[in-house]
Amino acid sequence: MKHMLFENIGAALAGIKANKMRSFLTMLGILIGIAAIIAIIMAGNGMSGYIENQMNSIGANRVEFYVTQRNWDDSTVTQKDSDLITQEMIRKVNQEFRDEIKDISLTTALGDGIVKEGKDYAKVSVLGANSSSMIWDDEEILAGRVILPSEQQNGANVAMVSDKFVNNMYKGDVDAAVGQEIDVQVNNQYYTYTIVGVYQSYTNQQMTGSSYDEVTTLYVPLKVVHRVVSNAVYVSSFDINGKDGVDSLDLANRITDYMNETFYSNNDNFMIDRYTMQEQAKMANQEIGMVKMVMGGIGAISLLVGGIGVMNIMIVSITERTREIGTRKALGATNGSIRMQFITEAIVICLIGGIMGLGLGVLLGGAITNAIGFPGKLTMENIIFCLLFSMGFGIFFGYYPANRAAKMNPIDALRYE
Amino acid sequence: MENDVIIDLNHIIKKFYIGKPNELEILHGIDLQVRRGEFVSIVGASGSGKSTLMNVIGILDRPTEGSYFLEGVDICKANDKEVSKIRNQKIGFVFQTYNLVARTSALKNVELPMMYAGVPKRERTKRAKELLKLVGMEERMNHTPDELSGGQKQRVAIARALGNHPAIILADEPTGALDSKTGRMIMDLFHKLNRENGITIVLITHSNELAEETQRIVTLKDGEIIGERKGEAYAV
Repeated sequence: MKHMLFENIGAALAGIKANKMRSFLTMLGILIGIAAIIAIIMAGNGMSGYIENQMNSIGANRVEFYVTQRNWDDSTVTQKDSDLITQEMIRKVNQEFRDEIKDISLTTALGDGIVKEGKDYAKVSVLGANSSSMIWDDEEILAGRVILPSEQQNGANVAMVSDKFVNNMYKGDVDAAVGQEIDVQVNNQYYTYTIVGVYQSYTNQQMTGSSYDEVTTLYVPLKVVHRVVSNAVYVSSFDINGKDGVDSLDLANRITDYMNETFYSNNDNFMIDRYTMQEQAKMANQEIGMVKMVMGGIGAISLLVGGIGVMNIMIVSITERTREIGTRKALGATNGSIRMQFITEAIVICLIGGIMGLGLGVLLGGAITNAIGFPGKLTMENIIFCLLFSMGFGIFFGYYPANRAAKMNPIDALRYE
Repeated sequence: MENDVIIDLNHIIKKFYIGKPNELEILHGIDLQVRRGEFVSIVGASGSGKSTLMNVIGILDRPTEGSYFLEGVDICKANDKEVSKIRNQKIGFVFQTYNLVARTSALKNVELPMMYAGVPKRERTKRAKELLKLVGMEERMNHTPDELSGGQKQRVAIARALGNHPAIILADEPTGALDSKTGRMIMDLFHKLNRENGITIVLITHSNELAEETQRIVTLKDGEIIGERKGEAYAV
């Protein structure tokens, strides 16, 4: 049987070439199906990679605690300072769970502002942050250094700016930016900070228009903001990082219970809730799973329709070639070799459709992942799976027509007009 | 060798629609022997049963009763797969309508039966070229059937029939679709193959004129052999 494989493939290709339009239309269903599947695999891989990346950069053990209304249906409730989280509460939490908490990150926003220098300007959001909330890998610090603990202690007027800020203000020269003194205008007040470092910012996906208008965070020591903002002793949320090996979800639940029992048991309107990276990642993955299922369903339906199309065209082709089948049988072809010839033809059609679908899918997946901003990846296994899948379709939908050809009576086949 | 019987048909009966009210007996007990190296013609008007007989000889169909030995092999006992192999190895078909495989070069067409026999690619290409040369088609071996005239197609078909050194060539009205001049060339080719290469040929035709050229004429009428005689060219 093996010695006929190449002859069969050659014959199939010749047949496809002779009926280009028909063959292409037949392949279309398979093509679209495979393209859809490849595109979702790419988009899914891209999104999963993005989430993993986000989790790694923020920290998978990170938990946010925030004040939330007990009953959202009650619109008469307003939030007062006394409902918020105080520095004292955070200190007690830190004490109570000190064996499990790695660090607590605290931030207080000063507000959105602008830095101007002649024609150049950059929009910033000034954020006071303690050391724990400014975690960058070495490669994410493009120039200079991070804010030092001593500067946190003293409330020094130093700042970390983003690479985009540097693009707008110093034409991208990060080294030139370090050491510069900038005047930041926030709410009609001017604050002067010295740049000590430049960090790498992530692209804001929703951002369109000029890069000048993109707002990036300008980090200053927490104390600097607390000096200015009167009610900075109250926060509506804070983040902790669990120590390595600590079950962050369990820790989050225990801290939440602790805070609600200790500080909020008498508060009828507000309570503490928590938000973990783990849960968020899980939710995001569930959403990705949904999208994958829907697109996968479209792909599967398309493949099914495509497969039926292949089956139909194979039946037509076999009817057209009845005399050829009769001739081949007269020349000594066994039923098996006739069956193999037509299954091979169906496989070749599906495989070509699959390869074209792969190409289209890569383009489509690339476009989708580009549009949403996560680079899509396609593994060798994905490609091999898709190609094997198309071949499987060829076998499945080619078998019935091929078997019909194999069982033809040679006398009738030879006499067929 | 000269006299060994290749085709041995004994009391062949062929019925259709067996057991049904419209049961039809086409062949009523045919006895026919063909010896190696013979050029035999089977003649008869349409409806005489010669097509059915050809199908039986070519093992495209099985007789209802009787026995058929082809080079000593009992055909009636062979299963489908064995029958395919016997057809492939022992019988070379030449059809009235050539039946070359479309979009496939003359060379590939000639290789076809050898491919089914499992002859390695290099070897079958070599033999196919030799055979095309034998029928005078070596110049056009890369042409596809639609680029060939009727006579050329029939010559390719004859080359194809010879691929696996068959015991017999079974030619069914091989000149039926050709003009008389081209038909003459095809008949000359058969004579040459029979004379020079010792190939056994069974020619099925309705033309008495062509039959007279052959060594032996078997006349069929209403499913029975009504006469056997030597062709005019061989009558002494």
